[in-house]
Amino acid sequence: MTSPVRQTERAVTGLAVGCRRVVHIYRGEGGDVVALAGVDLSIAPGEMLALVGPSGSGKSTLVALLAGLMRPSAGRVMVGTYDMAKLTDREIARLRGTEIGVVLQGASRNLLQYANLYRNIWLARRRAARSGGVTLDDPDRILDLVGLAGRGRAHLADLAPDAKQRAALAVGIAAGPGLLLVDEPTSQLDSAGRDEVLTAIETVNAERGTTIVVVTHDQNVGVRLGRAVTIRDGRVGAEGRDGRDFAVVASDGTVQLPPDVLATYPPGTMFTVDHDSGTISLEVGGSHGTLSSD
Amino acid sequence: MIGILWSMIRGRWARAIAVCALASATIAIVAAWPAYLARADASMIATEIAHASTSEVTTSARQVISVNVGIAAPSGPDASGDGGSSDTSSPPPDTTADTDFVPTETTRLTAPWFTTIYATDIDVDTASVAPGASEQATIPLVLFRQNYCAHVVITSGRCPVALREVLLDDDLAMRLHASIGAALNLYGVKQTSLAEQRSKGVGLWQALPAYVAVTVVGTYRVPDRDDAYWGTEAYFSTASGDRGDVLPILTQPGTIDVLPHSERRENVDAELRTSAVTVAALPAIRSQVHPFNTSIPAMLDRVDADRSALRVVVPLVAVPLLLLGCFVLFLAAGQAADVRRPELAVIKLRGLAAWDRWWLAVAESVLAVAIAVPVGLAVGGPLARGVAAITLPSPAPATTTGASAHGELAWVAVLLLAVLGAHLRPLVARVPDLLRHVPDRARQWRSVPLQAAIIVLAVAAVAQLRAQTGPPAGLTSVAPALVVAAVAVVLGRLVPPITTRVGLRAIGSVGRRAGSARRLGTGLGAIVLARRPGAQRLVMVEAVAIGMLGFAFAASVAASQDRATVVALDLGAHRVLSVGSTSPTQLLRAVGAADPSGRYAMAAMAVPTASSFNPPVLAVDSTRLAAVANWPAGSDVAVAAAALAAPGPAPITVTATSVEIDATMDWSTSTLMQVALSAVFLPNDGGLEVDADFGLTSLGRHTYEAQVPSCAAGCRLVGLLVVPDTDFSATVGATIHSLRAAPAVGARGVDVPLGSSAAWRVVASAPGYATPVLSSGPDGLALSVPAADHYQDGVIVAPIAGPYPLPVVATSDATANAIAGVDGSTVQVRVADTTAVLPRVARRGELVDLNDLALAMVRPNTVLPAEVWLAPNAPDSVVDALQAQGLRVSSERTLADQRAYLSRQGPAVGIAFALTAAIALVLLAMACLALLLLVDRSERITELQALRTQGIAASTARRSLIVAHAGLLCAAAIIALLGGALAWLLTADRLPVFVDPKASGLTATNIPIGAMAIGVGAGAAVLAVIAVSGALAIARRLRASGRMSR
Repeated sequence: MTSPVRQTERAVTGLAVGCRRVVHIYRGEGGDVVALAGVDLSIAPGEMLALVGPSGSGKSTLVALLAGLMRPSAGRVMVGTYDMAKLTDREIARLRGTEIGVVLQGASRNLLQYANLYRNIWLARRRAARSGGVTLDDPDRILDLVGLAGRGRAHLADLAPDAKQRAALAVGIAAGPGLLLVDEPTSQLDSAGRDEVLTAIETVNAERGTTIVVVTHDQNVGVRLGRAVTIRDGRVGAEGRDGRDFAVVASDGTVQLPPDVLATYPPGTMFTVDHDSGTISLEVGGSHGTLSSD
Repeated sequence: MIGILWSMIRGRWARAIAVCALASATIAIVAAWPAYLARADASMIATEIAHASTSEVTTSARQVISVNVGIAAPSGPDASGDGGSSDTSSPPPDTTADTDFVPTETTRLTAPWFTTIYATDIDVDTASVAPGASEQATIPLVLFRQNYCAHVVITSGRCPVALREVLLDDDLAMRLHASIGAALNLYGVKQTSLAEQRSKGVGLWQALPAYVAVTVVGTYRVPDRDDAYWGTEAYFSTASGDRGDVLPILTQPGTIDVLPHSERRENVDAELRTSAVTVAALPAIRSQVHPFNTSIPAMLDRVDADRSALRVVVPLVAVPLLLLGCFVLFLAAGQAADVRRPELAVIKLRGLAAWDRWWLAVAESVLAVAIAVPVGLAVGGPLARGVAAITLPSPAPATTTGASAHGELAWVAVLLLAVLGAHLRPLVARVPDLLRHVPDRARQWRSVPLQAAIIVLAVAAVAQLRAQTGPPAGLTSVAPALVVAAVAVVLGRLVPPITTRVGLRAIGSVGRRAGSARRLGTGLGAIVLARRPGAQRLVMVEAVAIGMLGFAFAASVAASQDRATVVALDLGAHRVLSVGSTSPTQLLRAVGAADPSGRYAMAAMAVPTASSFNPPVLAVDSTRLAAVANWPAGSDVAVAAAALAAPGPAPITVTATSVEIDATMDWSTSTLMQVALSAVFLPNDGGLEVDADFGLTSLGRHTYEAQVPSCAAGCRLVGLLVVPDTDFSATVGATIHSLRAAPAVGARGVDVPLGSSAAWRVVASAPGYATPVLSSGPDGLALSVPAADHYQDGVIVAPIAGPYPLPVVATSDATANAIAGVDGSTVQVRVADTTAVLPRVARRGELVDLNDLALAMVRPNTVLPAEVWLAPNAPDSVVDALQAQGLRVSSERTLADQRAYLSRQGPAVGIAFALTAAIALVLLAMACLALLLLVDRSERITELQALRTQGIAASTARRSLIVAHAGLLCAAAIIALLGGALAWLLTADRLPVFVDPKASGLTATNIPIGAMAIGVGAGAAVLAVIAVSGALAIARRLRASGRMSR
């Protein structure tokens, strides 16, 4: 479904995100690399989600597709009501300036080093400010949201590492986006700094209802955010919700086992599948494992 | 937005200033270019005018009026000697005078460029003078010339103010014994025809009976007879024939009106006003003058040639300089854009509109260029003045601004395009690409079209330059720079693979050979050089800059040598004195007396030719040729002198006071026909030629006698002159049986040996009619003159004295076998030696011995423009010695003066500018190198720190730095030398910086490789300062970080 990006009056509400059989292939001199091999993912409006996985699993690629920085090789990426594959570059740019906020890995990559935080926020929401009918928060309010109240005139070099990351968050939400994509916000931070950053993320979500997707290596971030989706080998592996791990059935019927299970039952292991009264049993020759469907 | 931009510029002020400085420098050059040309034009105009002869800065209009003022009056000289004034009644109506002449010509020549001078003069006779005065005929001019009192030095008395007051020249006053207040009778005078001279036995000038008494109120002398004020009327010509020294009597116009005269000359002379001669005025000046009566067009032609040459040479380096400025600005802006890629990624990530994205990306550079425009325009003027002070030997204020708004706007547009072009790639790149740090290898391929275009342009420019016949223009004017750039493009592409190979081999040999640490350092440096982004571009920029410096320096040295050679040959000797006009005999005698040793002074004369199609002829005293003359390289002056010193018969000399000729005359027509016979002698003491007039002859054999008192001390027989009556058409025969010279009246004469007809030649001119024939037999010499009525000047039978035909040394292009016009006769010549070029006459002309020429002249007292050539060892007293012999030195030219003149002309000025601009090119390359080193510095430091952490020794790291920096420079220097040499080979002979390349031995293959290497080396040394400084700065930073230790 394609709908043109229109300048409409809206309040800050989260955008839903949907990925259906998303495939992305990098074509290089040394050969093609399949970064995403059919990702199915649904994110409800206002939900917070952590994308977890090892390096090279495709997390950043998925986030780049959600941000409109690349177009999928196959499949569909929906952000709100917009099919990202069918938007033009100008429409995607407008979307990023109004509806989608992106925080790149490394705080300094998100800000202009020579400008203070006020000016960085001004720049980040310039597109939204020129779009009719958009109500934007005051820059001080934004800084307050991320715990940097009164630091508007500070430059990036004046801030501590965790404050830099929160400054990057502030720039990411400056335009009041419905979807906020954050890449590794807690890397290279100590535990206190990590907590502050995550608190800022939670505050943004709580006060604005912004849908937030966080790319991270840290499993604890997923626990903190409430939902963690594991990306492995370009596919959605398992999900963790409220402290519990779930295997996810992909749209093609495949199921990725949790890593610890996969360690015990390596690829090639044969199961028989029984499901009875909401319980799915996988029986290996001589071993018995049960997955509940609730 | 303004706040963001202000923060951007303030945060990166050094880079902004660098871009602004580069743009300012480029725009300053654009502004300075036309301003410099305007100053150079003014300087060259001033030079040409200062060097011009009088005829090249003056023009005149002249009319000759036939009048009869006072001629008809019957009064003559009073027997008491008190004189008597002629009746000054109004002259009869004159039909030849144009009464509007003066106002018309004055109006025509009073354009802003001329200062006009009105003059009028008549001829008078002062022969009837006070007792005791000289008998020598004096036919001076009586002259009025506007403002004459300001241009003479009054030695006694005052300037005339009233009617019949006159001012006499010092010499004339002395000759006439005229003092202040003395009365002087001035007689009318007229010129007689040859018929009158023959029939009445009178001279060329005949005084008339009427006279007017005038009063001498003062005497004067002229400080500079060659001053342009006196025009080209030859008021001060030296003695010739019957006139004696013509020294004007100066007076007011009213006095001339009352003096008796039959002919009056009116002149309107115009002298160019130097300050008014501007470039804009040149076409109008040219239209005001007639090329037939002035040489101003020749001087203007030299100005045009100077300007054309300059405009060909200036773009040679100026265009590459501007293009390099734009390119360096492009690199600087591109470097800035590369550094800001992540920042641009953020801007794009935030979804800003296209205008905002562009403006944030380019504003820093565009604002720097915008600020640079007024700065550059303001600096352009002082820059032009500074360059003019360096390159113009005689800087002159420009008469026009020379500014071209279109040109300046065009270059500003080019600068902006360069800046915008540098940002284009990042602006169209995607965000993921902007976030990547991996160098874009596709960038290398994108430069291929540009490099291919350079090569194609170079080939096209050279082909066009060699095919065309005119001076370089357009693309061909930058052909040398294109060739150097093309060589840099081709060879620069070899630098990465060669340095990679060297580096890998060096690294590979570590541990296997001695000196591993050195090899490791060398290898690392070579690898860095090979992989440095933009290294190839930097090599090209440096190679072009120092290559052009080498080319310009080589051209400067070669052109200087060329000028020195040409000047030496063109002038002919170390110093040349112009001594007015005199006869060859007089000149040889005077120079021989002034320099008896023959070591430093030589007589020389330019022999007039009958037609400009004939090669020019220079007559010199060949016995002194080797000691004095500048001789072209590649030929032996001794051989030439020996060729000219051919033996010949001795002249016939007599020591007598009377001569007697026994001749049989015969003519076949009426007995009324008259044939005059005379013998012409030239006294050995340098006196005027003597005509032993035997008078009118009679049919049959008779003996005729004439008195020649002037030959008492010895004379040379010039020839026997037979003048037939031109009223009768007949064949005249004259048989000379004998010629006898007697030392005194009544004494027994001595026979003059006549010899055979082979020892004589007939000199006569009647084109289209049978030539006289001379034969010899037992009766003597027999002359037969057919159609004698066509020989109104007579037939001369001259004894051959000296070698005849005259031996000449000729250039290859000279083909004449006779010299015509020296004294109205034709002298046969033969080529005794050839050479490629001769002093003074250059590549087309002949050299003849002056002694031999004097012997061959039948009118030996013919005056010719004379010079005395001096060798470097000539003493200062030589001028006084020459003047003591009666020669008046009117001007002097030296090698230094001539070299200075050539150095002020267009080609020399152009090459001086090219050298200055080439130095600026190197400085610009230095700025480019500094910029790129600055950008690379942090990356290099990071790399070296990492290597040091891995255990690389400090000395190894230092060596890698030196190799990386010096290697690039060495590669550029080698490429520059090869490029410069190829550019010379292909283009040098077509550049208008050489006066006469062939004379100087400059050929396409004669590459001044030494001078070129010096230029390249100097440029490389300048760049090495930056390279070494950059390496040391990195080393210091590493040391400061604690990772490097001594």
